[in-house]
Amino acid sequence: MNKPDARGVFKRWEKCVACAVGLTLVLGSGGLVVRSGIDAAKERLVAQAEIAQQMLTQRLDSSDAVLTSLTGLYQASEELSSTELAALSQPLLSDYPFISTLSYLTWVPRSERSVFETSMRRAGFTQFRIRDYPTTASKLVESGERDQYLPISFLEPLEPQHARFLGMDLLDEPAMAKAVESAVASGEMRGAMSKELSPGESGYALMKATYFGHFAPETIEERRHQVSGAFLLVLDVQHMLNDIQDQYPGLGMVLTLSKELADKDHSLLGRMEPKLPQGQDLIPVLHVNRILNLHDERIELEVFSQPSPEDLNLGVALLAMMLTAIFAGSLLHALRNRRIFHLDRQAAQDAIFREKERAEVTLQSIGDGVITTDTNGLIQYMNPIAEELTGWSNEEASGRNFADAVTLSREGQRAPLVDPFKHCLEQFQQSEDLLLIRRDGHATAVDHRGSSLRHRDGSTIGAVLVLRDVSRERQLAHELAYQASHDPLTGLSNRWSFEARLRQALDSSRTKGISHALCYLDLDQFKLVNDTCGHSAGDQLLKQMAEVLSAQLRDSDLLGRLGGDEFGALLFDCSMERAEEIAERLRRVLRESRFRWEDKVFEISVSIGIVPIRSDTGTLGDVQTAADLACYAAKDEGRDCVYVYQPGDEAIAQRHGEMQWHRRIKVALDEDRFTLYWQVMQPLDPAHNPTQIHEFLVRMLSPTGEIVPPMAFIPAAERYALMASIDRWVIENALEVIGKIDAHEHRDLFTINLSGQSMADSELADFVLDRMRGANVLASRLCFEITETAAISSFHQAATFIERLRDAGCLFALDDFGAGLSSFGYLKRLPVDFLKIDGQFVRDITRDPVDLAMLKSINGIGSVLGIRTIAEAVEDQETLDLLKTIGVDYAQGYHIGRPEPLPEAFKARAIQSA
Amino acid sequence: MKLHALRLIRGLFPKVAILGICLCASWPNAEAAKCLFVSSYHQGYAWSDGVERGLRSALNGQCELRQFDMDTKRHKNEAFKKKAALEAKALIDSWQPDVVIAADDNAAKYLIAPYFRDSDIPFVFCGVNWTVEEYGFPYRNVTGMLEVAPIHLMLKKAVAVSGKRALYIGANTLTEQKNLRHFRDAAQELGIELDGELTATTDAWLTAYRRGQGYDFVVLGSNSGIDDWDANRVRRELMTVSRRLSVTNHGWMMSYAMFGLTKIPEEHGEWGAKTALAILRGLRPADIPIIANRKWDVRTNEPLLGTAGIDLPRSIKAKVKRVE
Repeated sequence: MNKPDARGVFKRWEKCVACAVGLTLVLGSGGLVVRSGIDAAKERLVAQAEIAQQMLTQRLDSSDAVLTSLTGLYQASEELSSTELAALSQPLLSDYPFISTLSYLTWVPRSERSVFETSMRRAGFTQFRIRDYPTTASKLVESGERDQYLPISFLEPLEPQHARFLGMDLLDEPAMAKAVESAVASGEMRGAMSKELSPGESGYALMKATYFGHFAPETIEERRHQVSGAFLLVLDVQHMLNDIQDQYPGLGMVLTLSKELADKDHSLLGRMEPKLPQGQDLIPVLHVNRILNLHDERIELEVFSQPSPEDLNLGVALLAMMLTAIFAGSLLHALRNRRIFHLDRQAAQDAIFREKERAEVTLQSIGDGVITTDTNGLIQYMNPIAEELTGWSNEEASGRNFADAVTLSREGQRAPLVDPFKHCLEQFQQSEDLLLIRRDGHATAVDHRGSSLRHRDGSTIGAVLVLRDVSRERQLAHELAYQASHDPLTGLSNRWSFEARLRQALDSSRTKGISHALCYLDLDQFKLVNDTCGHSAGDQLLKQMAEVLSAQLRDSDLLGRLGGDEFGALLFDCSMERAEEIAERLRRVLRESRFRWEDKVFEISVSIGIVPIRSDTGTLGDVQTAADLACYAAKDEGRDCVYVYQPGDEAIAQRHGEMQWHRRIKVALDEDRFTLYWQVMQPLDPAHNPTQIHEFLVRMLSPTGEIVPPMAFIPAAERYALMASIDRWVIENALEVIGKIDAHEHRDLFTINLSGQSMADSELADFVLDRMRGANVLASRLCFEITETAAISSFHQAATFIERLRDAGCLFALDDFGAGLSSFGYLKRLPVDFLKIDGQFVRDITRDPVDLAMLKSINGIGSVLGIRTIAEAVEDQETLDLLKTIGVDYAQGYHIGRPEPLPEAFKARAIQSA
Repeated sequence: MKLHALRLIRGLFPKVAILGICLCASWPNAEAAKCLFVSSYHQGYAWSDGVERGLRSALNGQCELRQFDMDTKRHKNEAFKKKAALEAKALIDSWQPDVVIAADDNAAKYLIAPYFRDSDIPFVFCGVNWTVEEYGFPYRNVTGMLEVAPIHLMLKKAVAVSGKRALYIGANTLTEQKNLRHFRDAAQELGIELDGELTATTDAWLTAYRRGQGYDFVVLGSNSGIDDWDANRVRRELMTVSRRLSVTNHGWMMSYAMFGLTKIPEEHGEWGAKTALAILRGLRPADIPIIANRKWDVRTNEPLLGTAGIDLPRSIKAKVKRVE
């Protein structure tokens, strides 16, 4: 399924919008926190502005109270001298430090100007003149003629820098004159800008009029008529603002006169910059305005401050921004996941659709018949192969019961299975040969697989049955089975199948008390024919003999070629008398027959030994040995005769050659007269299988040191149960050799052959493991070759042995595959690593298509099962090339390398390694 | 090497320049301003001592102060006065004060007027009685405070207690002559009949005082200038002969007067100091008008009042400072 690209989950404009929204949220959250901090600072500023306003109002009220006291005292006193005024003013100025000067202005009509000025000069102010309100600070100009004057006649504190104000006429200044007029008319306190009178750059003057008489006149006209002067307070605005800032250092203030009368240039009463730390340029300045109403004047107080970084909650703002960023990120992530989920689901649906299409196409093109049913066994679907196999079309079969369209029967049984659907589902793991009976009656060998179709929740929703046409494979299997059980030359049962039937006979004797008889037949003239006319003649002789003998036996009896010129006849349910009679007939018939080869005619005779098989008969080996002895006894008695074995007839046997072989082998074992050969197996695809394999082979040495070929002593050793000992000798010596090989060359693998007798040896596994440890050999370098016949004859012991050594790391090869039982079913149950294909399937693959097909089939099975294959008996390059083409993994044979004595091989390897 | 030297000069130049600017800026402060106080009289004279006290208190060490006493109260001849003025001038010429504070009339008459009219050295006078017209003040380099007395007020209160006939008694000095003139003007304005006797000896002063017992009240001017003044004798004599109210404007005469509105010499010293400092800060003398003192005390001499059997009105007694 194609996963959606996470980077492409959002479109570009969606990303832009998301970024914009996220950024807005992050900045917004931070901004809100900062805003709240600013709001809090603003609230605090408002409260401080209220206090500042109150403080200013309080000072104005105090000034009003001072003026009221002064005017009241003036009105009440008959005469208030300058000394008394000074005495009164000094403590007032001390108590109200925001009042910079206190003055008394004398109301002087034009007619009294001269007298007034003279009296002032006589009082010591020798330079006193009524002067104009100064436009500049340094120049005082004597006033011109006016109807009335209001000069400063008293000033406290009288300081040198203020002394020049004495005589200054306030009526000369329009704004001041208007304030004076209002103060006179109202009898109340009035204010005006007083830049010139102030100690600083600006100031504010408050005044209140005095009148003749003890009480202020009640009417405006009277007040204007009776005015005698006025008290004037000049406020030190900066001082007032300083007082506030002392309390709130971070506060800045601007005090302005906002009435229309105020000249623009004089509107600023005072300004106080806040005391702020450096580096706060980016923080906004907050402003709050307050109005102080003073009769007909409006004093506007602008309070401003700059919130501190702590006020702005920058840390909290940062945290809020981070949290918002995380929240926005999580939200975006969730949206992204949701979008991915939708895309995934859509992709999954597309994938399912594609898979469905692909499955349908696959089912259409698959080589197996596929049938699906519902839970009731009603067919829902059949693919074309299933249609072909059953003879039913999909449309016809749909909705029908499975058994209606699919008729199955076991091979060899005519009756169909009653419930094929259930059988397929329940028995699919068992290997059985089934035939599918087509609608037209044609039978097809099939292999079946059945499986329930289950929903995700585990509930069964139907079943699927796969029927595979295995006609070809089954035919090949039958052929292999036949070849495995029959002698290819004579068509008779081979030793393996003969022994199998013999074992059955022994069982039936023991279990059912049925008597059988075993005859061993040995041609007397076979060696003569072979030597004089060649092997082909010998083969022909054997074939002729098989035909003659077969004709003399019942169908129920079994004739088998046990090896070379040895034959065996197993007479079932046969008494010894009858057996002797049959054996005699066989001898006679063969004696009467002639063998012709080219221009030669040979008389044929046979020696026959008979052994009864009864309930008390011993093991298979026992009965075989007895039959063998009896046969040799017959030869000893002059050939062409029948010898009936009787229990306790051991003395006879000892006189015969086979027993000689038994003794010779045992002596050879005792005297260690065996030697190892090895033969190489070449990997056909070194890149894939780099390991070279060497098979250890055993040879017996005669007392004089001559090599005894294996076929001369191995059959006897097998017959007399000496193979296990020989196998142990081989194992011990081979491991010793492997251990001596350079420890660095671990690539090669070594194989050791094990007989069926060794397979039955329950102690062999311990022996092998012990010797491996003793020789310091890695188990992975060791492979044991067992024949399928040996493995199957002692299957359970073999399986146990294989399991133990495989657990230790050893490998196993199935030897001579195809020459014995060759049931593919055993392959699944025998955990082997190599399959050595018997040479009879290899030797002629370039000429015989059947052999080629068989080899391909075996190799294919090995490939399917994960078993590497080794082709034996590779004797030419053409065969080798073909094996490579087929895909066989290894090749062994004279073309690759003959069996070689071990010391020479060692030398060769040493040179090769060097 | 040349390049290296140039770099060195370039590096040093700003530092040297800054150092120079700093030195120049601090130059005026390197030498404190110099103030010279010229007193017309001598130490031990109550008025002069009061002026000096006010002056020193107000200066408070803000300039380097030197004092020169002309001692013209005890030495009345013109030669001495001129000689004292020349010595003061010599001191001024040699010491070159930044400002000169001159107290009382003789300093104005013998020092400022003849030698420093419109000079570059600013002068602040104080204690000059009533008027400066006779000295031609103001000059562009002279300002100050006149010494005036609350004559009208004192006469009004005396009239209210005793009557409208009065005798003025004082030393026969320039100052007292000016005082008597001003009293006469005031008495005329108030409708008071005022006679005056300026004396040179204690006996003459006592004779005049006894004659004053024939008036409604006696105005005591300053005794400064009566060389044989015998304070104990005068006090004993007054305790026997006093029957009429005596008033004065001089604080040191309160041992002999029953009621006084007395001037405060410290006010003059303080003003002189303040004005001098204002000039040192850049204010020109011409920008500071000549003003008059405006402080005085109300005082009574209870033993003399008791001797004379005079009971002052409650409105006066409520505010007076009593003299034992």
